Amino acid sequence: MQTITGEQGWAVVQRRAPIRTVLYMVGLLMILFSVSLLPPIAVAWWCDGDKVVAPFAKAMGAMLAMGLLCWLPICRFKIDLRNRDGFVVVVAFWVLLSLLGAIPFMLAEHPHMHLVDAVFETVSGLTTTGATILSGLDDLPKAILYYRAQLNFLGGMGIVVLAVALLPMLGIGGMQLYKAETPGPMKDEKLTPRITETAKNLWYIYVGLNVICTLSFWAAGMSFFDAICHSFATLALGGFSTHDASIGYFHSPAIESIAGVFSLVAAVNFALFFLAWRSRSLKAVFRDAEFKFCMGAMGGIIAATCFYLYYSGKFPLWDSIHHGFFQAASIITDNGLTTAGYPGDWPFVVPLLLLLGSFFGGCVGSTCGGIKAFRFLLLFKQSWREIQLLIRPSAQITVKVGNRPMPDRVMQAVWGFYFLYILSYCFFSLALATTGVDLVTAFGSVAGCLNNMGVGLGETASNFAPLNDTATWLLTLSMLVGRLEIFPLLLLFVPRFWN
Amino acid sequence: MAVIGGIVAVTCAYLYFSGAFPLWESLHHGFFQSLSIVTSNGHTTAGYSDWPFFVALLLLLGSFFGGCVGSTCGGIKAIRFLLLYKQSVREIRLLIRPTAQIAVKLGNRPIPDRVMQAVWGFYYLYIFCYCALSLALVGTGLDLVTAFGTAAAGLNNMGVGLGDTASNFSSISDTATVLLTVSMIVGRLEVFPVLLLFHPDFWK
Repeated sequence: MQTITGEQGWAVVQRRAPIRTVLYMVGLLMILFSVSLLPPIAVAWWCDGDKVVAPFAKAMGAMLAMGLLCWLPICRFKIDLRNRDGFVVVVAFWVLLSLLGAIPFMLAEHPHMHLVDAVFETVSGLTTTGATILSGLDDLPKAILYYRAQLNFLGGMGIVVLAVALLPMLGIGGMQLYKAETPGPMKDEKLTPRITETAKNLWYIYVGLNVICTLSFWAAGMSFFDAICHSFATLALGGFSTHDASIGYFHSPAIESIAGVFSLVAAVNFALFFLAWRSRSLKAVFRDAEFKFCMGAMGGIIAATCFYLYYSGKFPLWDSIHHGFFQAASIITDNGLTTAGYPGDWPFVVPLLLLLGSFFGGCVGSTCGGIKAFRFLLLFKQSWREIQLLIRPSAQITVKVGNRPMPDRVMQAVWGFYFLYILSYCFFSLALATTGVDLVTAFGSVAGCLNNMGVGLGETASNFAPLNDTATWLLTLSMLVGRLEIFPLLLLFVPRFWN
Repeated sequence: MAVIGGIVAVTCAYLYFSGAFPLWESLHHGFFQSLSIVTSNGHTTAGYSDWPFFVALLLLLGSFFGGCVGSTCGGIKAIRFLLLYKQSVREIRLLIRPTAQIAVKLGNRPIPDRVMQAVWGFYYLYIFCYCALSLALVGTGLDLVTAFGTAAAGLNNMGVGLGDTASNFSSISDTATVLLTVSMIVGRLEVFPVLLLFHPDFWK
């Protein structure tokens, strides 16, 4: 009767703390993140003048006030964070930060968006989707552009993971938050015994790669400001650009190649970089089964894209290769930077292929969206095993990844996730179709948002402004669903969760 | 039955509210058409493809559902969806209590893991085939709506397309016709028998 004693233990903890624990954590996180508005304020003060500073300052004030309001009355309280609280904190924090983060977009004189659009834009940034409602990006104040890129940057590695890295006192409960936010089927794996150390290392690697990427872009001819913003967008696999034409604005094969390469780099499990860095060799990376599978699949899709572009006569040979490489890499990894009029002007098979590819995402533990390569690898191996079992019904075959047998628990979790993901996709597409958009737009936009990829099809091919408010809310929700991988959000609607 | 009832009700309600038909006609057209499509039958009435787009899409997705195992329907079949759904619910409960032991049950009978695994494998391959087929159809020059609709019609053995193929399939090219013919067989034989032939171990 283990469950019953467990339940009683729960009851005690719940009576002692749950609401206060959540308030405490959310408050603290809010205070922490109000600091993240300082860089945009600096940019505004430096490049744009006082008028642009005000909205950011107000947003920062609101965040700080909100945080203090939650945290101050109970700051002496000793928190005891459990599994369940972790989910509530993560969801509550994502929702609150999305709402408060939208303030600068609403208050700014330019772009002065209304609530729905501003929230969409913020969520799109934080979930690293990169779908935008704004057009005329080139004329917007620098601070707004920087702020969008920074949302990508923060969302890339996970805002809560960042908090875990920065707040050592979270060490005890950090694992709960980390598990609730980090994508992937094997959440108990950590690089170092202490979760704070793991989170810190992930962020060191992430920031390091950002520096390299910025310098590469700068060397390839971008202005320093553009280089920073695009490097944030690329490594977070976000996709907010500072130009309407996105990467296509630069007309530079070099820049496209750099962006393509770094998209692929960002789609590799960051834990592998950590191992490589510690052992000073790339052997660990190339031996990893998921990495091999992921790069193989991506290589195939990229090759198919380049080939089709050339074959259909859309571009000459050299252009097909660099456009195809960049665009395929950018879409499959759910980055969403675009070039050369993608997707509107391209032969239709290519956007569709890449759209399906965007479900693939990249490795677990990277900044990509979608279902993730690791899950596909398991699904594929499982199906293969089914076929073998049909031939030899009594054989004992285990699903192995790189010599390690997969526990049934992991397999089941992967299946459950896959089913719910497809179901959510169908559900959101249907819901979007009821708001009056056509099939292509509905399927394309939902894939763009659920996979955190950010490029729609049909009416939403260049930006998401043509949609009505209901559709915008739906897509905002779908981005969160995709980023938090369904379960944390779904959990909150299960009555059992609350008793 | 509950699921089919739900889809039928939504169809009727939507037809009425969107003003496509008056009340009574919404009811009988909606009832007939949604049943016909969801159970992969494929008879049509009243210019089905002229109906509001949402209904067509709903029914198209519904056609994946099919009906009970052992009946004459196509699609993925109700019992598989039931198992998939129960498994997902179980995942959620396990997230709340990570150490609980919960078995997936169907009418008080626990389902062996073997069966669950076979269902998952099938579901994955089915969706995969659908995507591959749609992509291939777009490759033959169809537009997206037609490709999705036609692929669903072929694979689920439902027989009613969308877009260009809404009334009949003569407008598509020969390559596409061959693809669809294969897909109907793949759908009817439930993927595995066809795939098996391509496995090297099978021929040893």
